[in-house]
Amino acid sequence: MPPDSATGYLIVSAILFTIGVVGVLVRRNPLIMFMSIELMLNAVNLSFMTFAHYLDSVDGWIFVFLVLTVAAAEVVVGLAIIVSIFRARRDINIDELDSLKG
Amino acid sequence: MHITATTVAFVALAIMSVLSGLGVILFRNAVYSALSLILNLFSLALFFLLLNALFLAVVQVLIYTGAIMVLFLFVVTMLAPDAQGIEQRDPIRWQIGAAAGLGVILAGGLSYILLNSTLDPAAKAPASDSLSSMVDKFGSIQAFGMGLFHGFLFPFEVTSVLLVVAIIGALVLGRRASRD
Amino acid sequence: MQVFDLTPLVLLLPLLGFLFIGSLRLLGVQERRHELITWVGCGTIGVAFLLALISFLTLVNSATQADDVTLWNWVVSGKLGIDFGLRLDPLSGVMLLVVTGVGFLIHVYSAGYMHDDPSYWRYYSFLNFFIFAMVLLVSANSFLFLLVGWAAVGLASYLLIGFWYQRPSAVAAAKKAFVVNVIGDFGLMLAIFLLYNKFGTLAYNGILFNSPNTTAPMPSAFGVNDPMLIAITLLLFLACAAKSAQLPLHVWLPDAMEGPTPVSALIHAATMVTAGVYLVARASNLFQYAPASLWVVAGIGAATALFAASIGLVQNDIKRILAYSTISQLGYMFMAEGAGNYSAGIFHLTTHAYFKALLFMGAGSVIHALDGEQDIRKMGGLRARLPWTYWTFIIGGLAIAGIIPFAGFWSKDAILGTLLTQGTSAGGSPWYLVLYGVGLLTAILTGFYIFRLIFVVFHGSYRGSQAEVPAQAQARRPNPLARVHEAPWVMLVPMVFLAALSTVGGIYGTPWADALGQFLAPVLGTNFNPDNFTPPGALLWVSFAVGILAGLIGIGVAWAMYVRRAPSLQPMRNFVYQTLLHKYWIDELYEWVIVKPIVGAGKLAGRFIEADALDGGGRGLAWLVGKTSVGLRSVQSGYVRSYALVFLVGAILILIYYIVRP
Repeated sequence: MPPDSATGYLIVSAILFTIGVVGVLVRRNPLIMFMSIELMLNAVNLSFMTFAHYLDSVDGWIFVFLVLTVAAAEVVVGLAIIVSIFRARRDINIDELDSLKG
Repeated sequence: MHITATTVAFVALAIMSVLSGLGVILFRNAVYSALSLILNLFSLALFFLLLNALFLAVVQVLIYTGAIMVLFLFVVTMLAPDAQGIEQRDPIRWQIGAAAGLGVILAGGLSYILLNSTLDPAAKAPASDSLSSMVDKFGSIQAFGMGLFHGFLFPFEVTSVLLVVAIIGALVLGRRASRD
Repeated sequence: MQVFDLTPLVLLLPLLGFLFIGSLRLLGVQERRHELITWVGCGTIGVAFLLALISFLTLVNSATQADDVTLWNWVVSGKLGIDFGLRLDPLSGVMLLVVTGVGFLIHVYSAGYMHDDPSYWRYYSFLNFFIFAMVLLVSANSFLFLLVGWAAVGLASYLLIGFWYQRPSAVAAAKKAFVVNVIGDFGLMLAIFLLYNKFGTLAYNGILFNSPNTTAPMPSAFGVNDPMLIAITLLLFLACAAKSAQLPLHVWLPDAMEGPTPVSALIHAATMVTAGVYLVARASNLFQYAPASLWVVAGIGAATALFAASIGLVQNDIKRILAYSTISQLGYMFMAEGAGNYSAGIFHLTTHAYFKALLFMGAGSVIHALDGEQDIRKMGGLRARLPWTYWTFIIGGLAIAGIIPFAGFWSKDAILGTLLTQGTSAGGSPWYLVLYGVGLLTAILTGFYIFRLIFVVFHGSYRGSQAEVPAQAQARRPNPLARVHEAPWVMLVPMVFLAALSTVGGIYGTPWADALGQFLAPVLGTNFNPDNFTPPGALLWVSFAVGILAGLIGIGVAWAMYVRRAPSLQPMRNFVYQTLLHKYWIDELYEWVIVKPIVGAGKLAGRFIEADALDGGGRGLAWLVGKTSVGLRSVQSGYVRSYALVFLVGAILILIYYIVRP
């Protein structure tokens, strides 16, 4: 397996994705959880780019572009939510938001 | 194995992106996490370069690291840079262990699949339509533009609506609620 | 329109009376309600009797001798078709006359006896209902509606025994009667199932008779003593034993005396208890091919006759003596039917209706005169104050003792003669002579107990307590019987009527001109000839003489004990006396062997099955559901990260699926 074949990129993408997942599960600071989600999205972007290159198709690039855009919109809204939660209670710990318990 | 500059670059970038990814999730300080993420995004941009996508590499740097991460840093520094009181005792004791274990399984499973499969040559785009020929002829920006506006016009328009919605949402959420 | 079509009216009139009187309360008719009830209540039965009489006379003069009318199709369901219809033939015609005729007399009598009762309306409506049920029973044209009538008379009996329901003893007696009767109903139902299984229909004209309007019997579907036939006939007899109070199901009848005396007269002497005798006669086409069952019938009849007569010797309640007498006389009827002479059984049924109703009416008159006293030890010397009652009672007593020329003599002698004939003839069996001996002995006892009753109540001097006389009268030390007066004419007229019937009523059954027997013969089995049962030649005179002698011996001993000497009514200490007094301890036996275990089992079931298993099962299920939901609820921890973990697990499962996919 040549190091720069598709498989290599894809494995890197898989590892980055996994790191992002673990980050979402483990960290309690919502900002860091968000960053982990961005990490996941970027790992997927890398996969798309890899396939665009190795399958010689522009569709991969388009998808990356769209993911990028949507991630931007998502970050905007998500951070606005976090900020407004922080305004309501002075401490941001995701585990405090458990009113759906039971 | 033939060691070329590409190979070296790939390995170096791989290590950098993985390490910075780990940094994102492991730093206690949220600012350090954000900075790690910036590094990670940057190394991904370099990956894109390696994959012969100049336009998107630049777009990644500009938009992701340039705009989105700056926004993140704003919020992080405003809200809880040190995050001292947050990461106390985890109320779900087995979460870390379970997450780590499942993460290993996930990565392992994906790797297993990837290592045991090959790219199907029939899935390659036909030569007339191929990306590499377009890039060679027109350059990456134009290739990208033609792909976007010829095949994906509708998603493009919808995405712009989405951005408007996001802006309005951010405006609404950002308002002080103490009006009435 | 055929005159036979009057039978449905005979059925309908009492039903209307029942409904009308029962609803008077709702209509709120207050004044003159008493008279209205009396006229309606007696009127319906009176008219019914006239209609029954007209039908009977028409039947006598008709050619076909039977009329089977289907009134409507009740059930039409696939192969099952049940029709409701009535049958008028010699047997049902005779029964109808007895039921409506004696019923009418008792209705009139009740107007006097029950005059002051606050529930007068309820009494008459129930009494009409009873007549309706009894008419249904005897005139139904299928076993199914026989069963309906059977159960309905049981219900009427329950309602009337427990008429004074504020008395716990009355309620208990009503319950006892009903429960024992249900055992009989059970037997009848099983017999019906077997009959349906064999014949595919329950109508008489498919089982007993060839076609609706003849009396020609069906050729037998069974061989002689076929096991299934024996089962059917014995089950039918089980029903008869329960309804007609034969051993061992007789225990309800003495207790049934808790009801008003006219009820005892009508239901528990003249009509309802005779339903069993009717049933055996009706099913004679079946019984005649099951000689084994007939032996059972005769044997139990004989045992019961002797048993009940012996208990009646020592009882002290006027109505109980008559109750045991009824049981004993019913035993006679079954003895006759068991010996094959169904018409003699029916003959005795009719004469017994006359004199037993008369005797009960007389007893009612005495009770009425003494303001409710029923213990004969507290009576005496009533002959002077109650002359009509006394002389009619004497006539009834002579009839039951079998003294010529009264009706009871002819019918009892028909029975005894049958037994003698069967015992001595070539085709019979010597065992019949044993039954004959039992019958004779019972006749002696019968004469004794009935005249003991008469002498103790009417002769001698009054033994009643002064408490029955009002205080101011006591002060003047008058005759304690001063307030005792004869019954009103509404009560006396029926009694006189019945006395007349008891005197001359035997005329239609004498051995030389057996009108009843000849009339009934076509419907009582194949080749039934009542003359076959008459003792031949000199034996007939011997039988007459022995029968009369037995009765006279009984009367004579009673005379010696209770008139010649001052009657000693103290209970004796010896074992025989005590056993008879306590009715052979049978009630106690049943109580310990049957009632207590069943009630105990019921209580156990109530505790363990009902409370623990079923209730607990229901509660346990609820507890289980609650616990499960608590467990399941813990999944909703409220932590976002736990939910995300679950997502991841799901994703990994999908991944694994793709790995292992072949």
